[in-house]
Amino acid sequence: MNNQVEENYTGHVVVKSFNHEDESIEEFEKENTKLYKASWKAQMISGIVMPLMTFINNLGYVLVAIYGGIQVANGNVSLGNIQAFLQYMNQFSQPISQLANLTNTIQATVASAERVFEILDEPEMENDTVDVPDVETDNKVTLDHVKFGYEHKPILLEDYNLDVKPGQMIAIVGPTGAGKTTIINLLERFYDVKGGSIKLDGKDIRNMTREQVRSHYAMVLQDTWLFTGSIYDNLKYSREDATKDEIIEAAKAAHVDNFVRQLPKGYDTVLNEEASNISQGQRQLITIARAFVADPEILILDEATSSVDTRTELHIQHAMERLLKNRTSFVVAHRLSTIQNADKIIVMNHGSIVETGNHDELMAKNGFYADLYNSQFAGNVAL
Amino acid sequence: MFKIARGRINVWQVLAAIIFMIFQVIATLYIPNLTSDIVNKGVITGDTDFIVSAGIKMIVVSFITVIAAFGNVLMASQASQGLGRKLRSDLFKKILYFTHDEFDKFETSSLTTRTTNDVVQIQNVMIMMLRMMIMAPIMLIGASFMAYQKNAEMTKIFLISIPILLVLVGAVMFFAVPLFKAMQKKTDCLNLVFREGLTGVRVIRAFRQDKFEQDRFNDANQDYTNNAVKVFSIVALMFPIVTLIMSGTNVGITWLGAHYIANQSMEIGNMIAFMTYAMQILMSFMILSMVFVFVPRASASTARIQEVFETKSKIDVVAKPAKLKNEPALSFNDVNFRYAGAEKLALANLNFNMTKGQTLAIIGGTGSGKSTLINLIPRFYDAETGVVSINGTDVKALSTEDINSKVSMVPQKAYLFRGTIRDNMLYGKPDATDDEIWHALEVAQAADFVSELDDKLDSEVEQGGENFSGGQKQRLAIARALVKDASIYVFDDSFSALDFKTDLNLRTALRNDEKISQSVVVIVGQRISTVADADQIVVLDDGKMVGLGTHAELKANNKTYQEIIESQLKEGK
Amino acid sequence: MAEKNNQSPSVGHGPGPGPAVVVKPKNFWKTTGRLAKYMSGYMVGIIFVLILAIASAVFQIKTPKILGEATTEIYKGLMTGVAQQKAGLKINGLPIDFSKIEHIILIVILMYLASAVFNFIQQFVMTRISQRTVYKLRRDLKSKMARLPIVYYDSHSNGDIMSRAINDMDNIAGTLQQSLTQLVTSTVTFIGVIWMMFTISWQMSLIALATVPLSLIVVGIIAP
Repeated sequence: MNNQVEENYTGHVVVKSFNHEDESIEEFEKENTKLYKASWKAQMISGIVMPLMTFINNLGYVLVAIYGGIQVANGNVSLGNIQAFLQYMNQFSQPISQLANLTNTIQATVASAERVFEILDEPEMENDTVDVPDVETDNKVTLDHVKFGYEHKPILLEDYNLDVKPGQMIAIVGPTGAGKTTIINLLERFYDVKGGSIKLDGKDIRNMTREQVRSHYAMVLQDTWLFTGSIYDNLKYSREDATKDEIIEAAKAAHVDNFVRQLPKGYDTVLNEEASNISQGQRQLITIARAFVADPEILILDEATSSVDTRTELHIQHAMERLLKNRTSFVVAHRLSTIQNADKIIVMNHGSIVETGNHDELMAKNGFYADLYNSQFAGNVAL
Repeated sequence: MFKIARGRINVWQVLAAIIFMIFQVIATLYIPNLTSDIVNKGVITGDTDFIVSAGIKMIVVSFITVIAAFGNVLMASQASQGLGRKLRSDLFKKILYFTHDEFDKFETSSLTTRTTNDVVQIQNVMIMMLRMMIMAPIMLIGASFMAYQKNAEMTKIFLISIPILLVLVGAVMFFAVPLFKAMQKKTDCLNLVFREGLTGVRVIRAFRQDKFEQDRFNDANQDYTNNAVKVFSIVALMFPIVTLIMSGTNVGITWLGAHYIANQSMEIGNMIAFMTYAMQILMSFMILSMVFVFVPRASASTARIQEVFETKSKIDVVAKPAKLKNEPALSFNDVNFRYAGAEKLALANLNFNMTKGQTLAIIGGTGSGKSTLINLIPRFYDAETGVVSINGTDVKALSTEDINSKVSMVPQKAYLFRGTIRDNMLYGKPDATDDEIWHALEVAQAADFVSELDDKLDSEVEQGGENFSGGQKQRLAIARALVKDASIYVFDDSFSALDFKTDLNLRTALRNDEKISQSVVVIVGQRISTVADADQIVVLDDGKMVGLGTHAELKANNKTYQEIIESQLKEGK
Repeated sequence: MAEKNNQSPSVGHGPGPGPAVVVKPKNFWKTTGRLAKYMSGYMVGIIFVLILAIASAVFQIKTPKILGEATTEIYKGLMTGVAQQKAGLKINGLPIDFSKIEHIILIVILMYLASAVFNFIQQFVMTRISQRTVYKLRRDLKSKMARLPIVYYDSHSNGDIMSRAINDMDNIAGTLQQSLTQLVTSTVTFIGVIWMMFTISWQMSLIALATVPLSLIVVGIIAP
């Protein structure tokens, strides 16, 4: 029922534009009648318990009264005792129904507790170190014979190698849903590799704590997650010891300062969950500023901008370019300029990496990347 | 509450419920009378025969109580659930026939809540009313009357106990209710922080802010717990207070009763009966005080539902719709549009004219009014001035059914319905053959992945199409729109979720399709590549049509268009 | 619709929405034990509460019988009076022993008062214990969430986790707060009432108990 309602409301435009109202209503009425029949019966049953119990109780009451009356008349029992007894009769049916209810409540509660404990019993992240020796290298990040696949899913990477020198930009490209986040998951140690090794400055990242690994990175994702709190606190989020000046500086670099100052409460503006007080594009800018504050060695960036106006889009692009400058970076690239300037391009499709190389190499290879790249211009009048 | 119930609840069932309730109360009240008789005339005099005959009477009467209660419950639950069913059905119909501007006033989730939870609230209060709340006053009057008859003097005792009961219960509620409200807020806060911990887990971990999250949650948790302890401590007073007053009344009755009996102005059995009535009177007051808790709760729901019913559309229903012609065409003549209450025009001075076989593309930045323009075609909104016409007729002269039958639209956000892929495909043309469906899927570049599914067209689609990726959903939605036989096909930014290659293939297939090429196609796009091959391109900037022409023309002499090319070219070369 | 069910569950059967479907736990005793471990820090408090609950229930049970003695006194006076009248004596007012009744009533009032006070203290303490326990449970859950691998987040829907963290927690809080003492009180009352009935008359008690199976049948069949 709820699903049906939700579905028809969410797809309201579709229902309407296909003239489908009558069919939907007909279906709804079927469910509605079913619900009606089931619920009035359920309600009646639960409503009739009390009167029935009272009746049974009254039966006992009468019997006791008859017997008790005779006893009092014969002087075997005092009247006060009969009165007390009759009161007890009213009292003792109550605990019975109460206990019956309680068994249900308690069972439901224990089931609830079980569900909570289930989470508490889930396996936690392990901190086992691996026997991979540190190596002397000038690579910032090294992927060494990496093997990876998600749990119970097919292997996506097999024997994958990648050297990233300091300051290099690595672009990750591929059609929608090609699994571009997999690389991010591995770099940030959200997931651990199944084989091989990922090294940061020559040290296997499994031999560092996750916190240590992540302290080298900052992320800007398409999903503009900010917590409910002031803009200032959200900016400070990426580095607790950031000074106020540093934060304002970062905000300026990310085109945040300007619009924040226009808000009535400035940096103290509290972002609410739905973020109705600032636009989606502005949220994105704040996440960029947040990464600026972190001032990381390595940057992970998703270039996709959710629907924003042209001006904001320019700002975002601009801020991202500044952020990328002089940093080692992994960019989920959507812009051709980024892709072409990248030192290495990781081309992904159906979850796995299909090609790696720079733009020219990949074009020369005339493979998936070249295909993808050319499709952009095909059928088009010369721009 | 009553406004909403009027005409929707079965009055006869309500009346029957009330009548049954009156019988139930009378019978219930008669029982203490019988017990007191048993004591007065039976026990004291030792008249066993009388006890037995009065006992039988009592069983009969309590059986009547059960029957009456059964009747009341039956009627009350049917009446209240019937009201719920009618309300749900009226709401659903009303909302489904909402025009676009009406629908915009509410959030989808809020409408869902109104149709489900709010109706349940009203149902619950209704059954409460038909059972407890009707019972309380009848019981109160009846029991007072009976008690008064048993001993008029002794009813004075209620002058003490009832005010005490009301004052104390009122005081507890006075302190507890604001705290309960505060608790709702704190619950929301707790939920919010926890939910943010789930949605932002990657960001939190990437910035190593786990500790901050823990602290934030702990604060909310502490705050909530403190408040809950306060509330429930106050509420804990309720039960002892009520019990104490009831017991106190009993004691008082015994004490006074002893004196009345001593000077022979009352029989002892009457004292026992009086106690029972006393309990019934106090209970009735308790129930009545509950009215103040439950009715306001329902009134919020009532107001929310009422708001839906009272929403009026600005789109006038056409009394005598004109006949819609079959020759595909679409034209805008001096169209201006502004959103309700807005100062600024959202669209100004739109002019274009498309005929059969032509493709219109609309390009512009976000917020430039592309989607607004699209929404004028199926008459989601009415133009302020100027004329939008499809197939040569002004849309204001057409019925929405006719418009929708000739306009096939793919909204920006693809939405699929629960069922099979075939169910979804048949949505716009119930008698479409499998061949037609497969053809549409092929054009929409969806045939590949559909044919890879185990059940092909019979594959399950979850609610909202959540078991498909964004791009797949979009392509299925496009296919669904293509199955429909329409004059005008509108794609509202439907291609931007697709990669360049799929986008290209899809547009090529559209151009070569027999049916589509005989219609008018409207494409909204962000990429130059998407719009470049259209017959006419409308360039929108801030609601104004700043350019109209082919790619070549616009490229040569339209500044905004050149800027757009510039920005995308910069990326390209 | 999860956001709507965040009030603690109301206890007791009223004309509410139809009977809810009861989800049976997989391992009742193990989970109960674990829950008990969470409360183990409050053992003293819990025992205190249970003693109070029992005391409160016992007082509640005892009073009708003591109050009944007052009725008996009145009745006795009545009978003597009637007998005296029958014997031809002229009396003004029945010879009821008011000082004795006064005495009885005083005791009863004290017992009622004690019962009410005990009841309040017991709820007062139990509220703190249950809310604190759930506070700890929530805190542990939250810190557990920080130790879970991302794969857990990716493989469980937010809605599911939220419903455990919010609705299930509320469930636990409500039950600990009310049902635990209710369980004790109801059991004590049930046993106590039967005991009191037997002290009055075993024959009458048997008659009364004969109705129990009937009640159980009703509860068992109709209420799920």
